[in-house]
Amino acid sequence: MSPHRRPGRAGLFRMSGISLGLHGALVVLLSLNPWTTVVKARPEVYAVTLMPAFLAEPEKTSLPPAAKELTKPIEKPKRDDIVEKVKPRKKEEAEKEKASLKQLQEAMEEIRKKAALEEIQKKVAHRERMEERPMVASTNTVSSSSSKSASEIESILNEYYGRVWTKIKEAWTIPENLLKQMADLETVVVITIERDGKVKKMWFEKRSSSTLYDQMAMRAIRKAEPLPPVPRDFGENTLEIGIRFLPD
Amino acid sequence: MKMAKKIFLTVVFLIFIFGSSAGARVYLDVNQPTLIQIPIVLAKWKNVDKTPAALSEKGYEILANDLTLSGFFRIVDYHHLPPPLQGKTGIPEMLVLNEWTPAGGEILLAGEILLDPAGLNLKLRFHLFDLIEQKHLVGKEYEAPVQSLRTMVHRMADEVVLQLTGEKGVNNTKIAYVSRQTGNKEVFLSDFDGSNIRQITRNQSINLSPAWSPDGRKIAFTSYLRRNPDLYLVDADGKNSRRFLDSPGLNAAPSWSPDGKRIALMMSRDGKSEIFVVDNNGGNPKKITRGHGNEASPTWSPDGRQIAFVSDRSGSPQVYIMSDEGTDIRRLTYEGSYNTNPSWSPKDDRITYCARVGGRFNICTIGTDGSGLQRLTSGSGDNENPSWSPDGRYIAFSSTRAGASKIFIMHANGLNPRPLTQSKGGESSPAWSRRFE
Repeated sequence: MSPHRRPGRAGLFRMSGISLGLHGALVVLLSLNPWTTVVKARPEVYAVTLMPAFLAEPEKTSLPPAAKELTKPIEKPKRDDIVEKVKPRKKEEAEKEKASLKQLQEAMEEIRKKAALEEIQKKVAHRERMEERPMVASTNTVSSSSSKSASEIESILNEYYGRVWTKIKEAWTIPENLLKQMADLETVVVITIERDGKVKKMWFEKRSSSTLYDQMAMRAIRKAEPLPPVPRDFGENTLEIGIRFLPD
Repeated sequence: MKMAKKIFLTVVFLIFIFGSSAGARVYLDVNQPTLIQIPIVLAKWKNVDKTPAALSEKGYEILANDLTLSGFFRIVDYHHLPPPLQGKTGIPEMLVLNEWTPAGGEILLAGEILLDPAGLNLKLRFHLFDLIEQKHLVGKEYEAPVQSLRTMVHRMADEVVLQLTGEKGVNNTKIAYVSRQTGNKEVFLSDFDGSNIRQITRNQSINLSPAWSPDGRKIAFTSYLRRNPDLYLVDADGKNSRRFLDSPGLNAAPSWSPDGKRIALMMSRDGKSEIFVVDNNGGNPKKITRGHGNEASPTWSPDGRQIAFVSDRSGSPQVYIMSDEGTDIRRLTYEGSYNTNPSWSPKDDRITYCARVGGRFNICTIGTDGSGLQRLTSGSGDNENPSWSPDGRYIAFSSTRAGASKIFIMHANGLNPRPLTQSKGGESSPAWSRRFE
């Protein structure tokens, strides 16, 4: 169940050490505010509403020679549960946190570079086997609802993330003729997954400069539903994941 | 399977975890989207009251064609739906929208058409739904005399393109071009979908290089009507044709400034051909090139401050850019020994031109800073005279890929080329109008 070790292990441990230290600092920071870290790093306010703007004010234009164009939806669309508001934050506060987080993010960037290819491949190769694997008891209890060690749970979760990634990746599509216009965009959507794999909530943590691209990111998640059920060893009722959508 | 493997190899799957357990949030990078055409379900239109079915069928057909030509969509025609959905018409209630899930599309377009009892006015209503997110996207109603059905449907298609791609379509645009179908070279017009073909000039002479005024009301062109290649203007309905510039020698390849106040063209009244700028009433001609080569084919930048043109000053024809005063000249193309016919994108980022590669003519685009050269056509006859659509998403050009020279339209990335009209050929020099709304 433990993750596959890669070459450069010592280096990774060193980085993990740094990361751990910085995590400590982060936990202290976080204890001042219940909001999650990455939201802190992003000062903008994202109020997401997918209701079309025209509902508020019908548009009237004329079509020559003598035509009238009315905006007249017959029924009101039902409100999705995608609507989510993020409270505004003070600018200086956000700036301060941004600076202290920068170091952390740099360290993580290093880890991120190392984590990757082979690991995923192996994970995916083992995906099905792991799915059916009986639970392994452990004496090293950390989580309240599980008898697994922290590293075992982490490993189970990592494997789960791999499966979520595969499903969303399959659903991530863009019209081919729009790709050129969509270079350098990035959208981050945070989703809350229920035990059965249903997406309970989702919201934009970061919008790109293209509304359309953002819509396609949301759509990818809807298409990927239901996601794989959350592993039983994960103690909470819901699991929150951020998905970063990139065009290349 | 192989594809999936490749994706795993090229994609970096990122996991980093904050803290230990509760409150942790992991971020996954999902990149390299699959490229698709958006599958859109076109439900059968409803004929309200006693509206003849032929009318809704006609409208449906125009719409399906418009959306196909845009290149963004894969049409799921109602004939190809599962039986219970085939005959389903009208605007669905939100509550039963999931009935349409088996249709196999991401988007549903439902339309209704109503002809008033007098048979004069037509009402067209459509609603667009997102079947994935089960939500309503937009609903619009159009009203116009029955003979405007085509224009109404084009507007509808433009709206669908706007909703689903972020920019309005170009279904209500026209393309002017030169055709030899009468035996002479006359200027013709066609809608974007190849319909409404009309002959604009009827002088039984040789008429060349049409250019739309930015307001879409006039077309400038060169004609040999009086033996010398003079510049003419004609209204877009073919009326009021008048000679405009008649200096000895060439008065050719006109290009309107974006504000419509000036026209750049090539003239050879002093011997070799030079770029001139004249006022839109023909006054105040000003020579703006002073090089020792021949200069040709001017095209304005969208801000009206620069002009791209062709010059052989380096020994071979190449594309250059200068200010509208003729200063700050820089060479744009270096690849190959024959680059002509530049056209500046209305989006300002690229210039398309014709390049001779291996003895054949092909369409290329290049960034206005000279970077990112792309060849859009290859191995398909000679391809010349590129002209941008007003949204900068398409390029019209002439091609001999199917035998005789015809006008083709393709996406600015070179995908989805299709002939504009069903003619037998003999077409050249396309010029794309603004949107008519």
